[in-house]
Amino acid sequence: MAWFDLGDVTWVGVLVASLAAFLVGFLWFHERVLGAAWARFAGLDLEQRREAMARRLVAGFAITVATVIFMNVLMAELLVTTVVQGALFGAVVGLVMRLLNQVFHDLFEDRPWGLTAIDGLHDVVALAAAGAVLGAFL
Amino acid sequence: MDWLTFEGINWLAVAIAFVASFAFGWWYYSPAGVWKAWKRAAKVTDESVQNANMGVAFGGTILANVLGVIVLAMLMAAVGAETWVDGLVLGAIIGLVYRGGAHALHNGFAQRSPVVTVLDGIHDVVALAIAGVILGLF
Repeated sequence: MAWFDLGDVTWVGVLVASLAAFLVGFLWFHERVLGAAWARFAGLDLEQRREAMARRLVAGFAITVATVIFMNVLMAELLVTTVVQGALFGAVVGLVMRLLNQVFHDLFEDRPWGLTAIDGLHDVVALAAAGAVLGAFL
Repeated sequence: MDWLTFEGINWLAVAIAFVASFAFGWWYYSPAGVWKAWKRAAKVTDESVQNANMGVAFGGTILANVLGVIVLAMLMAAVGAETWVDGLVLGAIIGLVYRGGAHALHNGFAQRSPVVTVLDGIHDVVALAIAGVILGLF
């Protein structure tokens, strides 16, 4: 398994890319952007939304960091080393591995299309942002 | 973007990997698998299942899984993951980090039952690991 090498990880790049992805999420799910619509689709009121965001902040960041570390491992092996290539890598992985998977689960769980779209498109944009930053560091 | 290419993809292996991972999902979400626990946790009712557009649901599932297996095959070819063990590990990590991570992130913020996250996450890890094993065997 020569492809899995944590020695390829640029830890500063991972930190900055994770913060970039997190910033995308902060803005995306802000009440003045898509947060209010998201809460309505998720069946939460705005107060419940705020509580959930505050309570899950650390776990959310940890998941983002783990995702970005593995992106770094793959991108280093794939020689994806520019901002544009990194953004494209993040967008493709976000689209296929996250958004489409979300669609499949949400269809069977009878969840609102709006929720699937807001969550899934967030993942595409956030991973594209993380990939672009990583590409600049690799 | 040398990794984003159909060159080197064994389409027979992709087809078998898709069928195997789809068959696993079929069993996993059946009454012989986790159907009852998943239905309870996801708050899915018999009525909502009957009302759901199963053509769209299965069509979406097939599309999502086929594209997921194709991208996994592209990544395996590009990073040199050539054995079934490589495929198992790469598929499982992608399933865990990208797919399971998305469930944990979005279900957590939406205050859904962690049982849904765990059950859906286990499915995604095992389904992609199975696909990776088959791709590696070819």
